[in-house]
Amino acid sequence: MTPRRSIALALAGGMAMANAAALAAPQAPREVVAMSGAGATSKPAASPRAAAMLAMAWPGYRQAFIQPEGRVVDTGNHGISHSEGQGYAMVLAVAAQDRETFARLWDWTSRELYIRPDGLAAWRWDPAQTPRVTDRNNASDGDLLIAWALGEAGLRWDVPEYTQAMHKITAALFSTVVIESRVGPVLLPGVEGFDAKSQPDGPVVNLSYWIFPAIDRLEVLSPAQDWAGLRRSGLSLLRTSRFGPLRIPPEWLAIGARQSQPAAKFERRFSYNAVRIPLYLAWSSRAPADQLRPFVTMWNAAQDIGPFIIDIDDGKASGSFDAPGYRMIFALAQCISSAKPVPYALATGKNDLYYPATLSLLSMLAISERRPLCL
Amino acid sequence: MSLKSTLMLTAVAFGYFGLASAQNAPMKLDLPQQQEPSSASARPALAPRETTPAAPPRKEAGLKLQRPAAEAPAEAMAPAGKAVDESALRFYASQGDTARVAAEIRRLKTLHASWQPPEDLFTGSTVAIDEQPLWALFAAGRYEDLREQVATLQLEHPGYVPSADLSGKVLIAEQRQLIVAASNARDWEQVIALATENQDLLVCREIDVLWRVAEAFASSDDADRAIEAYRYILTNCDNPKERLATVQKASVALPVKSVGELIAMGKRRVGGGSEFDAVRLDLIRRSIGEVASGKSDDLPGDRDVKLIEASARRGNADDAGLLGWYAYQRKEFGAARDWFALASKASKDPKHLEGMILATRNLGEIAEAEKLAYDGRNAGSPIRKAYIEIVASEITGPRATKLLPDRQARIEEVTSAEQSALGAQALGWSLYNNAQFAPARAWFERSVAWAPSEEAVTGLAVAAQHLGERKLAAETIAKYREQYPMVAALAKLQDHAPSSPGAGRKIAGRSKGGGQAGYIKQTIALYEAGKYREAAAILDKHEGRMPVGMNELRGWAHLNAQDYREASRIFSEIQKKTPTKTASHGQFLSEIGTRGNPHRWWDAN
Repeated sequence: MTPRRSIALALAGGMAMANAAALAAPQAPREVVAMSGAGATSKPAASPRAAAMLAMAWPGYRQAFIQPEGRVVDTGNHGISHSEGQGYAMVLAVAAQDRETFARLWDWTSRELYIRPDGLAAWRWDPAQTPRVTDRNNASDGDLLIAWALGEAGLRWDVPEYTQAMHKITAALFSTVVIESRVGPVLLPGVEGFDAKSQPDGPVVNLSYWIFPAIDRLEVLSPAQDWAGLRRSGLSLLRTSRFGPLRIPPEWLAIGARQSQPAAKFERRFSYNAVRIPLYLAWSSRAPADQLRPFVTMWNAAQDIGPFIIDIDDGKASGSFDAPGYRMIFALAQCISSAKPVPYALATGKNDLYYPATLSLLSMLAISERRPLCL
Repeated sequence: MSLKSTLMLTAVAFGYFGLASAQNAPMKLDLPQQQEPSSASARPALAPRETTPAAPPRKEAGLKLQRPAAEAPAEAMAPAGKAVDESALRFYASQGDTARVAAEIRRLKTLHASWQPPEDLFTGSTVAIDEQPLWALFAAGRYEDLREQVATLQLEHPGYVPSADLSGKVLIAEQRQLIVAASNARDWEQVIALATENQDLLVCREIDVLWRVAEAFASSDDADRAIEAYRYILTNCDNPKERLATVQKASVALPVKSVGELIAMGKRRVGGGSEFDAVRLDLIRRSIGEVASGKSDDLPGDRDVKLIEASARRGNADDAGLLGWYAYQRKEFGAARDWFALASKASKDPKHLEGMILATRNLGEIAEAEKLAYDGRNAGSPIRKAYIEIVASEITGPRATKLLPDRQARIEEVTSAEQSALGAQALGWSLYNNAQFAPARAWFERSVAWAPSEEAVTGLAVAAQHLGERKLAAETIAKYREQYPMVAALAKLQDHAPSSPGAGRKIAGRSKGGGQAGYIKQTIALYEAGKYREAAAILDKHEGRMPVGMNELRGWAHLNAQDYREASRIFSEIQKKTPTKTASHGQFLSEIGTRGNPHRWWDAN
């Protein structure tokens, strides 16, 4: 196993190079240049290009989606905010070493969303509603992201309050939404509405909530919880979640029966949730690469067909993931499976909306940490 | 080695089986729906579910077997209304191009709202399992274990389906195994049924299966289809060794005429001659061999025989030997001896020497035969047996002469080496007939110890009597009287005339005391004096009124008087009424005498 670097350190290297600082160049192999692909400009890249690109992309992202008070706006969803968006931005802020922005993000998040007595965040905040939080349920992936970001921030900037906040959230996750199942501990998507009592085929889980890079890091940062068990269950469920003619996982998976099934009362699709599964698999150092196989072919790069939102039951393409940020994920998966570098033009492509823009930056972060040769 | 086993050699040479080589990519099997419910359904799903995927095109068409007529319209039963063209879809799926598959499904659903895509597009390609251990089981031929392992994996990983590569190969291997098993069990019907269900196995790559199928047809008297199968191989398959083996197998399985057609399919060689000349020669050898072993009267053509003769003269000892037996069977003993001599020159194989000894003997050159056999005694047991058989009849037969010490020593040497009951018994009688009762008794004892026979037991009893060893004589008779009629007759004579031997030339050496009918005493005296004709004349007068043993003595008297016809008639009458081994032997000898030929002993071996 390769020694882990924290995201902050990885990015630090990238930023240093971006600023032409006189730091010794990190261990970037020479092939980076050769592998950078046709899209590369003539500018020679002697550094982990992904880290540099992320550092350069961050200010624009901040400008577009983060309000001064620290609220992340989902521009594709009527300007609402949610714990997931806060979490992603916090992870990226730590990576970009933007301590000030991180502080504002956490400040807003803790004040506006951590209003539940159980220590988890209310998932949805709508500026058009009063009160802003009308659905007080949590979204477990948001909590997971926030905990991860807090843990990294506490370590990076030596702020015990962040670390304590992380511990509070991880403990809350394991006492409320991590439950035992036939495959070991699983993560319920929310406190309410997904357990065996609430769903005919419950418990129901969302496989894109298993953020494997977060699980990998929290195993170190917050060792009191059984993160290894959580990882195992996620990988095990993923292996068996192959449905419909295309043998792909659904957004929502019912695990109540002996064999998992797409959850009965949810949309039976591979869609905006599940699209993150390959990103998280690619990003993790502990997920077997062969788990990526079903996703690698969802984008035909040569003819730029897909990726699609796919109906599980008949395998029909029912919509497109229509932004470079989505394709980044599949380009990364293809790079891992066949050493084909991510096109430079794709990495620099313009993402107008919050979600694909976020996925694009997350992909760059994943590349910089795990697969520097891919970009 | 016998003539029969000699001929078998040809067949053994045909038993050259190339190993079936399955090195190529597996064909996808088009499993018919009406397949026997026996295996596939009861087992874990190892069979690829794809039925008509964009499989790699077949290089060769494969031997086509017709299904039984009742099942023929299977194809016409395909569900109606399935007009949607899935070929592009299948192609994209075979490329693993999920994006294009999803787009194609969308297009097809737009055109055909009620159409549902097939469920098997990506079967087996999604749950990643390391199949290496499964391949190891496959390589070891442990298909049952492999199926179990797959079942276990499927419990742990419900979406897992073995790769098409593995399942295809396993399926083929299992079917091949079934065909081989059925073929080994000579269940031809089953072989043909299995082959009909698994026509993907009927290709050059599976030459062993093709051979077995052809053999199945040939063995179930369907020569036409057998020829068709062999023809398929010769038309489509290129491996020279396999082609040759194919014609060799066909030459065993098919009538000569059909084999000729196949031989004609051989490729011309650059330097002249044809690919299957060797088989053609084997075929001629076979027909010569069949005549030689008496199985056939169809003499091969002179030109064909000349081919083998040429081969023999070029130094092929087996061919020379074969021609020897061929001539021998046709009673051309001179020619036979020459061929065997040629064969013996080229090869130390004792069967050629054996042939030469037999031929020499049948030429009447007994002394020469005996010398050949003795000189070759170290070549093998068959030669020693031949030697013993020759001398056994020489030293006990009608023209027996007194044993000279040198010859006796030679016979004793070989008899002891071979532990031959026949040799010991013959020595016993020879010595007995020359009044050397003590050594005679010793040889009879050995003979009985090695393998009891009527002659040896009788000899032992009479020799013991002669030596005054009444206890031994009585015990011997008591032990064997139930088993051997002649001993029983001896017992009866002993009861009536305790010291008088009864029947047979071999027990005709003694006549003391005389409590029996006068003519009996008289004839025994005449017989012992070698006055066979006189003895026969007296006994003839009492025909029909004498004990069985004396009637047999009458037969021996006629035989020794060289009146073979009468002797034969008498022995044959005895055989009808109260058969004995000695009477049977007497009849045999008299018939041989009728023909004027020394008898042949050894083909019985």
